[in-house]
Amino acid sequence: MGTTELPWALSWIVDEHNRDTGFAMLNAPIDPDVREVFDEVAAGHRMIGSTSYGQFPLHHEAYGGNGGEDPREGWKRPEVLACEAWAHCFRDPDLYLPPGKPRMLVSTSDFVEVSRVWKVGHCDSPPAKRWDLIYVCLPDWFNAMTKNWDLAQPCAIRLAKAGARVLLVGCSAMPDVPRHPNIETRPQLRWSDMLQATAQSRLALFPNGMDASPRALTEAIALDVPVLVNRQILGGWKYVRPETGRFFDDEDDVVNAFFDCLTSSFQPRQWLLDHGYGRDGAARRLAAELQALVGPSERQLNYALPTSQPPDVR
Amino acid sequence: MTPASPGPLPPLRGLIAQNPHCPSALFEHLAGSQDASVRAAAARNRWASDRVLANLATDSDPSVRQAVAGNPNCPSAAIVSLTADGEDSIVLTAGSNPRCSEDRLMELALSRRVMARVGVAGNPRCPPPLLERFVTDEDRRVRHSALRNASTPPERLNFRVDRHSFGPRQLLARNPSTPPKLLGHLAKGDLSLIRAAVARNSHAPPWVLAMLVNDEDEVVRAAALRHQSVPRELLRAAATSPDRVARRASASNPLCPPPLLRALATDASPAVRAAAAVHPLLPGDLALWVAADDRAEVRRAAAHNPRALPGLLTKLAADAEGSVRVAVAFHATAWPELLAGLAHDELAAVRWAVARNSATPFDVQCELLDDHDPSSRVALAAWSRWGEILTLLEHLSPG
Repeated sequence: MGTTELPWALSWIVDEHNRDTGFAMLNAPIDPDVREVFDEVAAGHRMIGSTSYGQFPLHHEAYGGNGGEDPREGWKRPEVLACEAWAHCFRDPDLYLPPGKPRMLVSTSDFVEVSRVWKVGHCDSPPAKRWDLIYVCLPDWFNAMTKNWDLAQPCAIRLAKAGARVLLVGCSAMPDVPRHPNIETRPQLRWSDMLQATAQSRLALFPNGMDASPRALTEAIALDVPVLVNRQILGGWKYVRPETGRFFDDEDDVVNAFFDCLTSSFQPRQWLLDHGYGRDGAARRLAAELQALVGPSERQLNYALPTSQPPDVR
Repeated sequence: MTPASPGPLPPLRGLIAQNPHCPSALFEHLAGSQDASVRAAAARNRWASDRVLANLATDSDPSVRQAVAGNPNCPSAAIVSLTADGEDSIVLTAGSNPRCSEDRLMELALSRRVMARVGVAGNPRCPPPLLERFVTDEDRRVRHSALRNASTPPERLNFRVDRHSFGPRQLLARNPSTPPKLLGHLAKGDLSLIRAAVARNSHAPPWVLAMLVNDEDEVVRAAALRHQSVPRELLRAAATSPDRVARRASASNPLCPPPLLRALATDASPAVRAAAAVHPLLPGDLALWVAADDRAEVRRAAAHNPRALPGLLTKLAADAEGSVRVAVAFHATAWPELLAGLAHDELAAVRWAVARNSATPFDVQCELLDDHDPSSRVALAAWSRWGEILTLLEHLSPG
């Protein structure tokens, strides 16, 4: 252990030289087939819980829990009990996190690779704007739930009727895709193509509700594309500031928010970089939080990056 | 403003190839472009000829074949070849295309390729006997695709839902063919995501919506009150309720009667007034009233009311708030003189919106090509609209 790529539910936490920090991260419930891996990692590391999977560590039926049980029963899972602190995304962490454990407002989506996203999304030069809004959702029920396809549809129709050009990515084979001359659809795109389409959009639309760690949201901001975000989004609300975008409530005010955005001044990418986001900024913030857990010690932790890739063996 | 950031011209050839009014000679020229993105744009054009689409269906670039597979007018023979494509995403799209013949759907239903069956199970023209089979397919994705399909026979959707996990229950809650009794059962569930899906279901009956208008979750009760089948007496009660969410949602109900809108347009909450201001049934005298509201979001809502009268738009075109004037410049019924006036607006975003509006006269568009906005956004918008015509002329002119 320590030389293996980890399953999605787990991450190593490495320093700036890709060395093991002695911490590891739990991202999701542990399935039986990776229980052994978890036990091995947890035996040699201090575990930090991360909330990037719905309401985890609460139980939720859509995220593998059983129907009818108290969501807080999820706190009794051995992997949750093994975490000594929580890196979370919530506005009201008391509702979601077990009591008595240190908490830090750090999400997986904070670690967006700003320079790489910029480079891939812009190819050689900043592209012209082709669409007013982009929305991305893959055509399976889990994505439809997380990305709130039920709200995206009426929003897209209202925006299109108001004259906005809307691009729906990943939705072209959906039977209930809204039809309007101002709505274009694309199938699932490669990551690079998706970033390029985002860069060609004036705004990125996030009606997402149960999304705890909306990576596409920080990618849009990293591309300097302002965001229009559902006020009830579980995680990612912290990125929505006057400099980066606007909230909306539902299809009744999304057009109003869109017009407001068209005359607003945004500097999303600069805001992201100035506020400790992006891979390096977030890694320094996480390191400071972890350092507070270990207290003064011989080893100073300045950089802590969650990764599935194994640390270098010293 | 970031959206104004300067950049190159939009991909004009792609836009032209996608334009339904593109002349056939030029279209064929673009469909043979060296640039795959232009060919893909041509393949998305729903007015493309069968011959061009059949040709593009064998293109070496998968994005072009994908676009053909999704074209609602794709010829049947091309669909057949695309359902056997090497790329799963193309097979999925082709299989879900309503132009796919019933014979081919029957063949694909027996395919061992999961994405072929997923596509067929999501096809609105999939024969009911196939959908009945797909509901119990060995692959979860195929089952889910069938549960999502509004053509699946209601009797096959009549599950004992408590035996099913979250995903299928939510799909059933969304499906307009789900039997009302089952929707009623789902409306009583613990999970607000499922109750919200029921409340948004276009075929939810009044008695089910009545169960949801007082739901503890505001998303659920707003969706129920916005539904056109919600009982009128409940809509009236919600319009006078102390619950702001309920009043706002009732103001958004497409059948909200004008007397209720009259009350809601003068509500204490700006969010409620904004919902009333954008309602197409708002009486004309009240529309002028909301146009004088002290909150910009209310006036902005009035400016994008699809039935805004000329007097209202004229008044809002002189609004002090730029975003209100942008909404006017975007309006589908804005007329040439109004747009010509807004073309001289001090705010670049307003001039940009004018440049995009198809009612803007040619001479105004030409003026906007020389707009002084340092970001060039206005000129680009003007150019991308008239550039299509200029490019057409260039192409069609002799020599």
